[in-house]
Amino acid sequence: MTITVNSEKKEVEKNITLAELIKFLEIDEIAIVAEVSGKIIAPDQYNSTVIQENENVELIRFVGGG
Amino acid sequence: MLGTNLIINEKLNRMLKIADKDFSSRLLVGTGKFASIEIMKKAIEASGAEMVTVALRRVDINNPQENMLGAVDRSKYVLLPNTSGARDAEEAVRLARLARAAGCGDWLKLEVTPDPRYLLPDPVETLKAAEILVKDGFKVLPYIGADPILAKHLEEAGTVTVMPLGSPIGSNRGIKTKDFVKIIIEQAQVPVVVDAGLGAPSHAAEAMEMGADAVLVNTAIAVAENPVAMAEAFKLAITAGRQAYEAGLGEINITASASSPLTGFLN
Repeated sequence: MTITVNSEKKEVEKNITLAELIKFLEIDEIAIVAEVSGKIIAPDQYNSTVIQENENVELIRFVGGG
Repeated sequence: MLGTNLIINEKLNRMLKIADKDFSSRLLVGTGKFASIEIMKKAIEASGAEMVTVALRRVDINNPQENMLGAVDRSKYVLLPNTSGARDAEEAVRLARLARAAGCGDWLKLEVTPDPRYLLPDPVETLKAAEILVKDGFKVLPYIGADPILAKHLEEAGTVTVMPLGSPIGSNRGIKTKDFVKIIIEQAQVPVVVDAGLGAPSHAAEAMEMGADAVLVNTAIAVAENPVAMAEAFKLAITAGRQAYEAGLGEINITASASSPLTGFLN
């Protein structure tokens, strides 16, 4: 199915969980935080959050800043 | 035992108190613009800072990079995520909640800067966001222009500090807002942290001599030829400036006031 991740369209398997998506994208799960369709998902909910078709996922990390 | 308690109390009284935490260091450092994570870590160590800022940005899904958060030892440093990038209150609140959801704690540098040319903070949106975030349980450290009335509003809204700028972020121009920062220092009931534009250790010393409680420095350290040495220089300057403030600076006069006696001159 098609979803959007950080404004890019991605093809992923149906009923993928957020945890699986992060692994699929080869992103280090440590200290990133996610939004699915505008709702903040905390790391402890990645395994239990299932992503639906056409949903918009934002993956956010920490960077240096002042 | 009583003597020891007095010494401990005196030490505690001289510490920087923000919300429920005490800090020995009055230097907050930013983690941006460093040439490498290694240099950043060494510079933070050399600075003696106990609180560091970080920012939130999208993961580059085509090139997922090392997560820099692992480089900041949470057992040593208080993490202060900032809401840089927020152009209004809504974006700032969203960033704040994301930071907290990531496990960053509830301390937050509130930064709402709609104009990229000068990166000046929007007073209206900052106050709006502060009110929401304080109610939501955040310890808010708001970045503002040196506006004493705005500082009062934020304090009344429950922010744990106010952080007036010296000059635009990254400009290294020093404390162009000196007279107004002084008014804020005079009137604030929360710690005052001079943040932004401090380009040299002398600027940081100046802030401390004025009675600021702390300063936040990023660019001046990160872009120095030797960031680790510069971080230490800032640490020394802040110690000197604070000690000078506590020691009681002499009056400023327009005319001379002789240092040597005015009598007993030789003929």
